[in-house]
Amino acid sequence: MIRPASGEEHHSEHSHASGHPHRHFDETTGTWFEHEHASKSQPSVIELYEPILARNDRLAERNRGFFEAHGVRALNLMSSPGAGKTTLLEKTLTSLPAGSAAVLVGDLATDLDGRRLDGRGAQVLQITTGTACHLDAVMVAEASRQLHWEGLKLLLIENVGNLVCPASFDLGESQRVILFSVTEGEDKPLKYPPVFHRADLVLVTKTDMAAAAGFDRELALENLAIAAPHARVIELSARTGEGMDAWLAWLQG
Amino acid sequence: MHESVVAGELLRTVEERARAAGAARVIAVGVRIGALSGLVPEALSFAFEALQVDTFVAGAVLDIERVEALCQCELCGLVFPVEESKRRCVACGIPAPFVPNSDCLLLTRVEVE
Repeated sequence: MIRPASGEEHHSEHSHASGHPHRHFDETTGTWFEHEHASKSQPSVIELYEPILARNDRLAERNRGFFEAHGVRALNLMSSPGAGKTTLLEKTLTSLPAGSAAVLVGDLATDLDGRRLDGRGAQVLQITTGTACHLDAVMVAEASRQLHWEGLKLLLIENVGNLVCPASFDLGESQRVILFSVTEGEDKPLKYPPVFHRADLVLVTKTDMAAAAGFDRELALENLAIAAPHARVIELSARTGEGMDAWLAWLQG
Repeated sequence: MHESVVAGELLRTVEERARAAGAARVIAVGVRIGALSGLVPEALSFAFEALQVDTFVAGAVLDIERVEALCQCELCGLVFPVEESKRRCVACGIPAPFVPNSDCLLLTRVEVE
């Protein structure tokens, strides 16, 4: 007769409803003894309170530390598709000291934007996400490995054109710049609270088209004061050059 | 939206924590979603259920606690819920920023056995 030597062996000898006391006959001592099995199915709760995107946040912090250690200011540029991010960057790169800036461009497909920015004195890397509607810290970390950091002062990250999803993903940037064009309507800031409420700078673009679009400037600025109360606002036109001085001054300040 | 990305991260973290605690299975998962997070709770539930099939976490129920978007006036401290485009403090009339919790996306608890 096999005597139970340990709890584990005992469990494997027989099965029974867990958590209930029962009696075994011990042949050595000739006695009945009772025991309870520690129930294997005892529900327990693990309390957490941790961000679901903690893994992205951790990597973003690592990116942030890396950029700061290299003296590089990283900017996350977000907007709806077509607000003018790439055109603004075309004009911007031409005005910055050669070699002082690098650009990471995010798109679902094509390297068209990346190629538009080539040859303007900055390192340009295209990130094609495939299906992802936003850039995340992993993509930025991997792309950053291909950059040369000597002499770099500015890292401009052109996010995927999307005013919703990018808001949830910290990339490790120093600041967030949101673009919205006069053709998108003055209520835009109110419609996209998450992205506007974390903006450090808002650029109102394509001001040269404001009259044609019937843009209500006063209302737009009022809405921005509500949706992005802590953001600086600069109105500009990359095409005519209006406001570009203020933008460049902010960039290099 | 990318609720499937968030659901994927959630399932991965839950499995890690549950296994580390020596659990046999996951009964329920609690999350807290702020109205400003940009996520649609129903879409998250759908993705959570679809992605857990044939995994360690299969059978776990997702319990979503919604946090409404609140603003707090920087002048008088009044906290009030946000309606549509009305974000001005009723007392002071100035635009009020959102309280930090309004865009939270938290894993609060994992129930295992």
